[in-house]
Order: sequence, then C-alpha cells, then structure tokens
Amino acid sequence: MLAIIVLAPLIGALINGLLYASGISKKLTSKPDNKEVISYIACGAILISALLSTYLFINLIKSDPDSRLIVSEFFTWIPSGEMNIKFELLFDTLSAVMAMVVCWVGFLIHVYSIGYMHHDKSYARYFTYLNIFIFFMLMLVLGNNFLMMFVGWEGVGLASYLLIGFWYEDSLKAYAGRKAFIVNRIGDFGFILGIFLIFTVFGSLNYQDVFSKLADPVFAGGISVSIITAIALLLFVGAVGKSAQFPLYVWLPDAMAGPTAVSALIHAATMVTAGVYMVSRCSMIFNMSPIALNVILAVASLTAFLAATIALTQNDIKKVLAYSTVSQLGYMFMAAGVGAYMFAIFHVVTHAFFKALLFLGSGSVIHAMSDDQDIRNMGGLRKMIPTTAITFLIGTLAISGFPLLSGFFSKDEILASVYNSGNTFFWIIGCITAVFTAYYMTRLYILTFEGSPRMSTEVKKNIHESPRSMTIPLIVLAILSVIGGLIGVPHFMSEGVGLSHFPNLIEEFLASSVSMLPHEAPHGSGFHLGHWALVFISIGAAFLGILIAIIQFMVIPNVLSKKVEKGNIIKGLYKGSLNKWYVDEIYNDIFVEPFNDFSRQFSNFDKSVVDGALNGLSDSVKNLSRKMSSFQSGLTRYYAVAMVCGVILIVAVLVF
Amino acid sequence: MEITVSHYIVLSAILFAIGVYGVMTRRNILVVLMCLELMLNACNLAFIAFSKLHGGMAGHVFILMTITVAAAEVAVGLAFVVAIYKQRQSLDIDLLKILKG
Amino acid sequence: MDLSTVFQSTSLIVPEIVLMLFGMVILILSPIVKNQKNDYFLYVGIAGVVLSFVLNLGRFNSEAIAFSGTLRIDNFSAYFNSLFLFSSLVTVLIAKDYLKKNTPYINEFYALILFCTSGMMILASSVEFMTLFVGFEIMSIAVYILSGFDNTSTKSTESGIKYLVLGGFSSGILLYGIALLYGATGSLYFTEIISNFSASPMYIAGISLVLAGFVFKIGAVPLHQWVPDIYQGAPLPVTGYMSVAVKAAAFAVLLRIVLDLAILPSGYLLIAVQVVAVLTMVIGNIAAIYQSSVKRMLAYSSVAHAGYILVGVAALIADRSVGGQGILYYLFAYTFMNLGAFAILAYLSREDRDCDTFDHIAGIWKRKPMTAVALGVFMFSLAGIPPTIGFFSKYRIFLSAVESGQSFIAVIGIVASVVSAYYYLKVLVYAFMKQDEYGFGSHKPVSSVAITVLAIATVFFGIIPAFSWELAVEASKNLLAIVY
Repeated sequence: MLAIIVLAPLIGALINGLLYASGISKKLTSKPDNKEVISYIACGAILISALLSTYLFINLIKSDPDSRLIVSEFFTWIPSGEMNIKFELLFDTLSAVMAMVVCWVGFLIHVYSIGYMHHDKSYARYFTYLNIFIFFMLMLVLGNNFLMMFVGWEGVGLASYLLIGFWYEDSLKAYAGRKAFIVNRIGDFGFILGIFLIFTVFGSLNYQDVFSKLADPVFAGGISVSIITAIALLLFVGAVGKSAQFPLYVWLPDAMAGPTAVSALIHAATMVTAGVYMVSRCSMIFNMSPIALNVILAVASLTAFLAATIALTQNDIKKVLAYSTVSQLGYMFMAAGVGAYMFAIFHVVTHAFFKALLFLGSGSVIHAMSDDQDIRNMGGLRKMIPTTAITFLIGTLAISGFPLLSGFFSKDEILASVYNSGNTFFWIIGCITAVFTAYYMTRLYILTFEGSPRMSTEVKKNIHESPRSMTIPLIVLAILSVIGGLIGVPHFMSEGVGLSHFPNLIEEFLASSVSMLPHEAPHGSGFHLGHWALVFISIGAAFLGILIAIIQFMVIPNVLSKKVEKGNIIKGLYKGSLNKWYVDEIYNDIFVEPFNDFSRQFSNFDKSVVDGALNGLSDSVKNLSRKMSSFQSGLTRYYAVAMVCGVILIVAVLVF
Repeated sequence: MEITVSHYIVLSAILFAIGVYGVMTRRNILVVLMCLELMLNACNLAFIAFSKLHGGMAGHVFILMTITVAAAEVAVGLAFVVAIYKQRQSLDIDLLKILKG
Repeated sequence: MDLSTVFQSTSLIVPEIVLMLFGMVILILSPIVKNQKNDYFLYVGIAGVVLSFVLNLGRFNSEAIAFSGTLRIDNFSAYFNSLFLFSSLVTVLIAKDYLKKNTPYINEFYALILFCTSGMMILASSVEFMTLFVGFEIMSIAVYILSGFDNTSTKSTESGIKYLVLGGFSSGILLYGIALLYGATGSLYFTEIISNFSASPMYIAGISLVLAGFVFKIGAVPLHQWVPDIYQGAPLPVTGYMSVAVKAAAFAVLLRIVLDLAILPSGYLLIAVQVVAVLTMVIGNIAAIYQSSVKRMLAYSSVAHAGYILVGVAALIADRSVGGQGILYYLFAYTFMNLGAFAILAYLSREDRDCDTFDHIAGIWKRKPMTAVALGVFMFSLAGIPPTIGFFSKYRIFLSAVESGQSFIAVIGIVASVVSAYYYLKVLVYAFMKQDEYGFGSHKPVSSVAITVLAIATVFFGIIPAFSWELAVEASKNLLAIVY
C-alpha cells in the first residue's frame, strides 16, 4: 500500500506526460470541457495517495505507541557487495505527518490549479510536473534510507526547477529557475558529502541501522564527536540550500516567478520544509553535536530576523510572502536548533496550512488584478472579492500568532522552547521577528484589501471572484489554519482552562520517531518567566505588530509615510530593507563578478596557453582519427589482407 | 612413397593458402567466390584426413555440413553478383568503394 | 540413439523450431497471398518471435543436454536467447515502418530475421563444433542477405557482397581452426577436447584460428575493418540488429570457447586479450570522432563497445568468478541502448533518404521533442552517464577488471569512454541546439512505440538494475566451472 501512495502520482504524471507528448492533450484541450480530463487524472492520482496515507495514518494512531512503524521492502535497489541498498519505504509517525501534509495540501493545490491554470496552453505539462513533484516529495519523506531521501531531494529540486521556469518563453523566469537550481546545487553538495560520511562511519544508509548503531553506546562511544559534528553540519548545509536559510535563501524570492499555485505548494508548504524534515529525521545525529545545534540556532535566528526585515517593505505581494516563508523557515530551524524537533514539525504543519492559504489567496488576488502583483496598485479589494479577503485575513491572523489560531500555538511552542533552553538572546530576536511578522502581514492585508481602490479603471472592471475550484481550497485551508493548532496544545494551557485530558497530539505522536533534547526550565538563574508569561509576551508581540500596522496604514496613512521621507536613518533603513539589504548585489559583487572576472582572465590565459595545448591535443586526436579512417580504403581485398595480417598476429601471439 | 595423413594435411594447407591468396589478389568477384570455395574445400580435405587418422565418422559428417553451407554461401554470393552487375556492368571488386573512411 | 531420445531432444529445442517453422511459413505463403499490401506476414513473424520468446522463458533455471551432448540448454543460453529474440522483435517492428516503400520483398525480410535468430540461438547453446558451425553459418548467411537487402541501393549491395566475402573468409579461417582442433584431439565435443588436450602446436594454431573467427564477428581490432563499411551500407534496422544480436551471439560462443578451450594452453592468452581490448577501445573511439556520418560513427562506437566487453573477458580469464556477470549485463544493456539509437535513425529517415549525416538530425528538439529526449537517453547511456543502464553496465565491467587485478585496463577504459562522450554529445548538440534544414520523415507509429519502450527500459534498468542484474548473475554461473 505504501508503494501505491508513492506511485500513484507517478502514474498520473506518466499518463498526462504521454498525453502531452503525443499531442493528444492538445486536441483535448482545444475544447475547454475536455480540459478537465487532465485535471481529473492529476487530482485523482493525488487523492488516491491522500486517502491511502490517511488510512495508514489512522491505523498508526490506533496501534500501540511502541510499534508505530511500517517498513515495507520492495527490492534490492543497488546490489553491490557491502553497499546493499534496498528500495524500502518507511511509514513511521514523522513520515506519516509529512505525508499527510504533502498529500492533502498537495491535493487542495491541485484542485486550485484547475481554475488557476485554466487559460494556460500547457495545461497537461503543468499537471505532469506537479504530479512528478508530489511523487518525489513522497519518496523523500517515505524513503527508508538516505539515498532514497537524496533521490527525492534531487527530484523535487528538478520539479521545482521545471515549474519555476514553467513559462520558459520569458527569459527572466527561466533565469530564476536556473538560479534556484544552482544555489540548490551548493546545498546538495554538502548533503551528498554528509551521506558519504554517514556511509563510511556507519557502513549503511538505512535509517534503522544508522540510528540503532548510534543508540548503541559501544558503537557511539567509538565515534568522535567531531565526526558527528561534521556529518551534522554537512547535512545542515543541504538543509540550508533546500530550505532557503541564510546565506542561500536568495533563490526562494526569485522562485516566485513560477505560477502562484506552485509557489504555494513547493515554495511554501512542502519542498522547502524538506530540510526541516531531514534535520528532524536525523535528530539523533544532531543531538550528539552541540556545536551543530548552536550553528543551526544562530543561522536560523539570523534568517528569521533578516527575512522579516526585508518583508517589511516589499511591494510585490508574492515577494512579501516569499520573505515571510524564509522567515518562518527560520523559526522552524530555531526549534530544531534547540532540539525541539517536534515543534519544528508542528510548525511545518501549521505553516503549510496558513502559508498555502496565503499564497493561494494572493494567487486569487493576482488573478483578479489581471496579473498585477504590486500592492501599491491594489486596495479596497475586500468588497470585490470577499471570499478571498476573508480567508486571507484568517491566514494573516494565523501567521501573526493571533491567539487560538494555528500559528499561535506552534510559534509559541518554538519561542518557549528557545527560551527554556537558555538562549535568551535568540528568544528576544524571535520575539522581535514575531512583531515584524505581525506588522508586515497586516500591512499586506490592509494595502491589498482595505482602503480605497488604487488600480486603473480597466483593471477594476475585470475584477471578479475566482471560480469555485479556487475558492473551495481557500476555504478548506482557512478552516485548517484556524483549527490546525489544536493538535499541539501544550499541557499547561489545556490544564489552565480546565481541560486536563485534552492531549497534545503531535507531541505524543511524534515521540516514537523523533528524539528530543529535554530542556528543563533553567533554575536558580534568578529571573525566570513562567509558561503563561511567555505566552502573553508572544501574544503581546503579535498585537503590537498588528496595531502598528493598523495605525500606520489605516488610521493615519499619510503621517508616517511623510516621516519616513524626513528621517535619514529611517529612510536609510527603509531603503535597505526595500532593496533586500543588497544581498543579491553583494553576492553579485563578491561571488559572481569576481568569478566572471576570473573566468574572463582565465579565458584569456585559456585561449593562449591551455586552449593552445588542448586544441593541439584535440587537433592531433582528430588528425589521428582522420589518418585512421584513411586506412579504411573501402577496398575489400585490402581488408582481406589486413585480416590475414591480424590472424597471423593472433596466431603468432598465442603460439609463441 | 607412401601417402600418409600428413601429406593430405600439407595439401589442404596449400589449398587453403591458395584460396586465401586468391581472395587477397583477385579482382573479379566470381573468382573471389571460387577462392572462398577453395578455402572451404581445403578444410574438407583436412577433416577427411583427420577422420581417417582418428577413426570415427565426425569428420565425414562435418564435411557434408560444410558442403551444404558452402553451397548456400555461393548461392547468396551469386545473387549479389547479379545485383552488382546490374548496377555497374562490372564485377571488379575494387570498384566497390563507396563505403570507406 | 533411439527414437524416444530424438523426440526428447527435439522437444528441448522447440523455441528454435518454432522460429524456423514460422519463417518457412512466411517464405512459402508470401508468394501465394495476392494482397501484398496487408501486413499478414508481419503478424506471423511477430507471433513466431513472441511464441519463441515465451517458450524460451521456460528454459530459465533448467539444465538439459540435447542431441547427444551437442547442445546445452541452461541459464546462460536462455539469457542470450532472450536477448536475440527481443532484438529481433524490435528489429521487425522498426523494419516494418522503415522498409515499407523501399522494397517489395518485405516478407522475406521477416523470414530472414527469424532464421538468423534461430541460428544465433543454436550458436548460444552449442557445445560441439559441428553444431556451432551450422548455427554460425545460419546466422551469417542470413545476415549477409539482410545487409544487402535493399537491392536498389548501391551502398546496400556493396555492403552485402563485402560482408559475404569477408565473412566467408573468416568462416574459412574458423573452419580450418576447427579442423586443426579436430586433428589435435580427435573430437568435436568441447568436453572430449578438454579431456584429450595436449599442448601441441596444432592445438594452439587451431584454437587461435577459431578465436580469430570470433574476433572477426565481434568486430574487435585487428579484425575490425569491415565493421564501419558494412554497418554503414546495410539498411538501418539491419545495422541495429547486427550490432546488437550478432555481436552478442559471437560473444556467447567466445566466452565458452575462451574459458573451456583457449585457457588450456594459457600462455599469452590474457595478455593477448588485454592488448586486443585496449586497442579496440582506443581505435574504435578515436576513429569515431572524425566521422561525419552518424551511422558510421555508431559503427565505430560499436567497435569501441566490443572493446569494453573484452575488458570483461580479460577479467574473466584472470578470475573466473568475476567478469562474467559484467559481460552478460553489458550485452543486455547494449541491446537496449544501441538498438534504440539505430531505431531513432530509422525513425527519422525519409523515404527518399536515410537519416545519415549529423545535419540530418539537426533540430529534432523543435520538431519532435520526445524523439530528441529519447535520443538523449540513448546517447547518455552509450556514453555511460548515469542514471542510465549504460552507466551501470560500464561500471560493472570496469569494476570486474579492478577486482581481477587489472586496474590499468579499467583506467584506459574510463579514459576511452570519456573520449567517447565527445562524439555522443555531439549528436545531442546537433539535435538540441541547431536549426533543422532538411526535414524529417513522417511519423512512424510502430517504431515510436518501440523507441519508447527502449528508452524507458534504458532509464528504468539504469535506476533499478537489481532484477536484470540478478538474471545476468544467474546466467553467468554457468561459466564458472566446466560442468558438461
């Protein structure tokens, strides 16, 4: 059954791919009614996976907590002496959660795409890629060894590259696809090195083998911590690339060139969280290396903060969401950095709900705005597209950490665990980031949906609510964003309101597959905040951000913007933020330009010396080749003579 | 002088060499085919001689096979000869050199 | 030998008999049937091949001796027979589209392919020289006709007569070698030759001549010069068939002979094979670079691939337990990728001209994207780039060389395959980056199915080689020891 989960999307992709390649889909799509056939195939394939994984998921919940693990082996994948790698799928609690998110969010986004891509001429190609993506993503989360994870990892990278560059006629978009590809290669390089190192140290790539060896004190005692640190850091480099952490986050905002549904699926809900999944999967490795954990925490906090500051001033609706994604990914890694992997996964889940919702909502807005993405040209859309507006508002509140919505629970748990681990400095950064988050999201909402309309009359005429296939996923995701947090309500909260039996589902559920670093609240350090104090601080942060944004953009929209123009420091900061702190430019100056210079220099050198030598070599090979073929005179008799010589040679060698 | 098996073997080797030499030097395709035939028949002679030496029928049976095969080969060769003559009005094997390099 | 043994032996070679019977049915009935436009005989041919293939599957995991020890049916021969039957099926499918307008004798083409394949099947199971020679000639003569099949084309006829003369020449050499072996040991059975072995000059001369005959058929240096000419002249489906099936058949026998007979007076055998392997790889690859005809380039590349396989043979000679699997798997892989490459050339050919020069494949990416992708798959595979079957098989061959302590050959082989990437990728440069000027042939539905299957198999087995690898391992076990 596990195999069907993984294979169903692949089969869907194959069918659609063949239809596309054979040109049948072109004939089909010439009639709009028939277009649906393609989308039924694609959505149906995902639905099969989703239903099956739900079934297994329920079975998993019902089963005994100690045996929550399904491994099914299919065949030996690479038989090669010692390195016997099997094609095995693993359905434990961690991969179950991930698979559920991937399948169901993926399904909703597929449904959404029916409406969103309706006018596109490469309809079948789009769904083919989307199904391929889901296939690789499921392989990534359900594989039972590092190699399968790596194949899935590369596969989702490929699918994302194809989808970012989906409109490849536009060279800028194709360029964005390439950028994503290249930046990811850097991360993948670290990841594959990490895998090699794991294999040399543990002699296997199978999860159970590696982790049981790690749990074995005799074996684990024999490995030095520095090797474990090296493995952990290399793996994290992979995660930095895929999950867009500093300094490799630059590809993600550019990746917004793809269709918006793709941004929602790949660049918000699923693929970019693969890094978080990987780190959680290897929690045992990371737990053994405090250095690696500290590196993760520092990088993650920096990413969360930096991306949030950039998001403050962006004017492209998708760019705001992109930077917000980077920032939220930073939160997830902060949790991982203090060993609270469960909360990282918890945030992956809730983030998948509300960020997919926000992206799909923005897609609906862009759809309505005739493909304009600049929020300065929007405003007042609430009355024109109410469903989108309301669901978008829910998403905004959820991500801001509005009490009792999903983002509130997960973000609060993360901040609390960071605080309890004793890293007060990073906790403060996290809180400030929370303020920023609430601010920029509210700003985005207000500028888009409130106030007076600023778009041209032509655009205004065409504004319409999206078709039902788009709004239904929005509504479903909105509901999930509201209630999704209830799967992880901390015990002290449920006890506090008198529901002492309300379980913290996610924590109990994940306990069998993720090993968590225990963090007791620091004692004796004098000043210490309790659970509730932490909660109120994060609620306060959310409200502060929302309030500032409301005051600035609704109550006194003109006052502050004038101030911005006056104050030099603020103006400088504003400009810096607007230009993304010039990171792209800096990269360009530091890496790309010198490299180009170098290659220019080198090509001069190359032309004169190396090329000379190489040309000489290749010329002489070509000459040799030419001479050799001149032996082929085409004369049969000559060949017979050559054969006799050859035979005599063979006989001579063997006889003497 | 008594004719022994080795005489036959030497004779067959000479015939074989003549056949090989003919394939290398003759330009008429028909003659080349005849030389191929000569090579095969040299082999037949060797088989018969060795069969005599060792006793048993294997060599005898083998030459029946060889003769059949040689007949088939020549039949195909003659078909090609006809086709080539139709195309070029010549049977000079040295003219067949479109395919080279 | 009473009647019941004859029946029993006959029942063991039913797959071969089925092919022969179907071939004869085609030959006899095709002049009688009036409506030549229908593809009745194509279906007969396909039915014969498929039936034989299915029957052949039953031979796996069984061992039997037929016709008083002249034929040995085991995993090894079943493995090779499957390869022959598969490639003949593909060839028939491609030829159906390719030959349609070119020739009125298309039905005979099917019959010849069936006969040729049955010859190969006999060859792969024979452990006695008379049977071997008969199988060898059934195969060879059918291939001579096939390569000269298009009698309207001067190239094809030239290719046919050249192949006939040179092939007949090599048959003569082979036959004389057999005669000398017979003279030295008094038997034609491999087993008896082994037991009567004495290191006489006659034996060594005989075995070298026999080896020379097979070196000719696999197209290895120094007897490789016929390969490019004949491959270039023959009709495209035939070229694909020759490069894959005939080569595999020759290797099947070569392996048995080398391991059972040639290894006895061991001497310089290993060094000779090493030298031949290195020269074949180097010369094949270097000569391929200069070619302007894709077909001819692929011909030289097929010489080079024979060299890679010979690396495996060298490993096998040095250490029986390694090498065999690699060779068998390489031939399996080569069947898919090389047939695929030729199938695409046939697919792109127009009625008035073959797809031959590099310009003829320029720009297919724009016109026929799926074909271009498939071409990319085959070229990647031939160049040994992952994740294709070509990579895995090449890796296996070179690994066996390293395991048997001949790392230097593996290194030369790797360098040679790097050189080969140059001309394979050149094909892709033309296919993907140039503009087309010539236009391509019309859509050929049957061929495109065959190409799709081959391309998918090339990638599939490249990613998941386990099943097929097991087959090769099982089949190669029959090479481990002399077990007659």
